[in-house]
Amino acid sequence: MISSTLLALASLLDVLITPQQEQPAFEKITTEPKHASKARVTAVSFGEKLLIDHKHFLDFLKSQRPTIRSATYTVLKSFIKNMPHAITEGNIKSLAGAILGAFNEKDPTCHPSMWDVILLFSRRFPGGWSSLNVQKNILNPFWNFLRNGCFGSQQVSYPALVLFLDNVPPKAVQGDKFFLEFFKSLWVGRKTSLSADRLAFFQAFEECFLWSLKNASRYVFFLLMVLVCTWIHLLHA
Amino acid sequence: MFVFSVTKLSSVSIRYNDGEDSISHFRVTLVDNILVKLIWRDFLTTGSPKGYDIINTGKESDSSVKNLSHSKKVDVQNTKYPMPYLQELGKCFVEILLGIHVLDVKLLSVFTVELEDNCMSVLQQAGNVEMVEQIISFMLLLEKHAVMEGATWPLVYIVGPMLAKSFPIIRSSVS
Repeated sequence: MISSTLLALASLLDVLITPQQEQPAFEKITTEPKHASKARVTAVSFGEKLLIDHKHFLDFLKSQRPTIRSATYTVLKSFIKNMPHAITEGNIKSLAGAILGAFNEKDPTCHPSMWDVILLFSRRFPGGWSSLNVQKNILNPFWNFLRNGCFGSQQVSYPALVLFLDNVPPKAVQGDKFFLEFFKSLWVGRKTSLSADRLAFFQAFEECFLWSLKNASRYVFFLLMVLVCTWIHLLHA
Repeated sequence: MFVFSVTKLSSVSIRYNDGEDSISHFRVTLVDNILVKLIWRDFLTTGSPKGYDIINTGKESDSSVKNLSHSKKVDVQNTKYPMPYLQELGKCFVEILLGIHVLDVKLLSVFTVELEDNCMSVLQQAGNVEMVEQIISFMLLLEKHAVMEGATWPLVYIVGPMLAKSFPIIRSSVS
């Protein structure tokens, strides 16, 4: 019942609020009917109220039932996608902790919606990383997730890894140390007897490894920026 | 204070004044620690406890299994991977080498140095059949996934230098 309600809410937000440019071409119209505009305003208003009243639905992530946790990830994704303005300085820390700390999720049926919300949140709110203790809240659970073969969701999780790397804010991690730990943890989790999972593993490993080599400049550039800032600071000290 | 700052800056600048060097260092670290020490060594030593000795000390020990740490020994005993695993691992490895070749051919040398060392160790030891077989398997995979598709870089940057370095030992062992 709870999970169905959450999924229905997510669908309603997607239908009523999704910006016109994201809608399929055949649904686009030059002038929006008045009732559609009114529906959007009403949906946003109710959405904001629901988000506050239910404390961002974060308590549902503690549910023992995977269907409820999965539906919560889905509804959070829908809020981030359709009502990003509802994420403010006042709530970003608690949302970041719940979303980026989701690698503690051990039920593979929750992982598709978990990845959706992690990727979207990281892309839209990279500052969410800096509101947390990255090592403790994000990386340690993430390494554990990888070492355990993604707790059985290889087919879903391995293809998401390169997208995740692309959304990790360089300033939130220590470049080479981060990547060494990433690949070592990924490697530990490779043992699987299923051919399709092995294929997904090797494909992801290759993608991520080549991605990290190609994007080395992101991390080096950030390091150089830190050094320049340190230099300026020293000159003015 | 200014002198102190400039001194600090200089020491920092000496190390990081060249962004290209820093990128190169970052890449070499990844290739060495992950591609060479993790993937290649796994491929080379799969199912062969002797392989760990040869790689780590350059020579085979009589009590190679005995000297392994308990966890490593368990790992080796469990390493009875099916052939598809080795094929997929090898394919992944070759495709990464191809990607590295396209990105920065100089990076390949991190691996070729290791390969040359492995070949020299194997040639200098008798009875390392498993490792010889793995190196041959690697060559076959290289041929299948790169050379057969028209690529010449494996011959130029990997097989050629390896043969050039190994040839004197091969010749002396035959004669």
